[in-house]
Amino acid sequence: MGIRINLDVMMAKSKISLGDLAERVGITQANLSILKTEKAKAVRFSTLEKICKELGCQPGDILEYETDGKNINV
Amino acid sequence: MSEHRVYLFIKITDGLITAITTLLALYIGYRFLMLLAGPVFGITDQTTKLLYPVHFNVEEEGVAEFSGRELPVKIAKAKAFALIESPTPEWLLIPVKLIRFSIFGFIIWILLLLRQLVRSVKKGDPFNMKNGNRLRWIGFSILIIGIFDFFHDILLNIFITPRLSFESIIPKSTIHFNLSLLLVAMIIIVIGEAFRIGAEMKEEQELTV
Repeated sequence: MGIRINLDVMMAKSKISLGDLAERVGITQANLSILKTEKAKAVRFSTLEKICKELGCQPGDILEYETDGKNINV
Repeated sequence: MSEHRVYLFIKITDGLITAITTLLALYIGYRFLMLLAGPVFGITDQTTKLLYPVHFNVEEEGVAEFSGRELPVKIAKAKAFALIESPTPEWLLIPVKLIRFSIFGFIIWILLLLRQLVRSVKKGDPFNMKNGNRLRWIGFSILIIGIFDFFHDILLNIFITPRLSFESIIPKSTIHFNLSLLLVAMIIIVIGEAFRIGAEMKEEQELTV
C-alpha cells in the first residue's frame, strides 16, 4: 500500500542508465537512486518535470498508487 | 571560535563527564554495597548514620555595616544538618537511603545520556532523532529526581522531625517541591521535542529529490 515508483521500468523502456538520467535531469545519482528505490519522502515538481521530459512520459507513468494489491494509476 | 578549538572543548567536556560519571558510579556503588552489607543483611556493623537538613526558627540580632552606617540585622530562620548516630532504625534508614540512591542513579543516567549527546556533537551530527529522545529522557529524569526529592522530604519530616528534641531550638517541618527542577525539566523536554521535530524535518529534507 502506498506510492510505487516505476522509474526503473520507464528507464528500461527509454534505454537510459541511472547516471545518464541523473546528469540530464541535473540531480545527483545518489538522489535519483533514492527516488528509484522508493526511499524518497517527497519529489519536487521541477524534478518530476525534468524526468518526464527526459523519459518522454507522464508523471502517472512514474508514480503509481497501490492499495491492497490493487494498482491505480494516477 | 575556530573549529579546532570547538573540537578540543567538546573533547574536554566528554572527558570531564566520563570522569565525573565514573567517580560518582564508583562512590555510589561502594555506598550501596555498604548499605547491603550493613543494615540490610547485617553482615558487617558498618555505621549507619543518617545526616539530613533541619530548618528551625532563631532569634538572633546583630548589625551590618554599609559605608560606615550600621544597620540592624535579624536572623529569623536557620538551616542545620542533623546527624543521627548509628544505629538508625532500619525501617527508617533503608527507605531514605534507597530514595537517595535512586536519585544518584538518575544523576548517573543523566550524565551517561549527556555524554552520548556530547559524542554525537563530536561526530558532527547532533540533530537526529536519538538526541531528541535523549533530551526527552534527561528532562523526565530531572522531573523524577524532583518527585523523589519531594518524597524524601516527606519521609524525613513525617518520621524524623517530630521525634527531634533539642534544648534551645525547635525544628520545623519543611516539605517543599523544587520548582526550579520542574522548570528545568520542562525546558529540556520542550527542547527535546524541538530536536525531534527538527530531526524529522531534516530527514524529510534529505529525502526530497
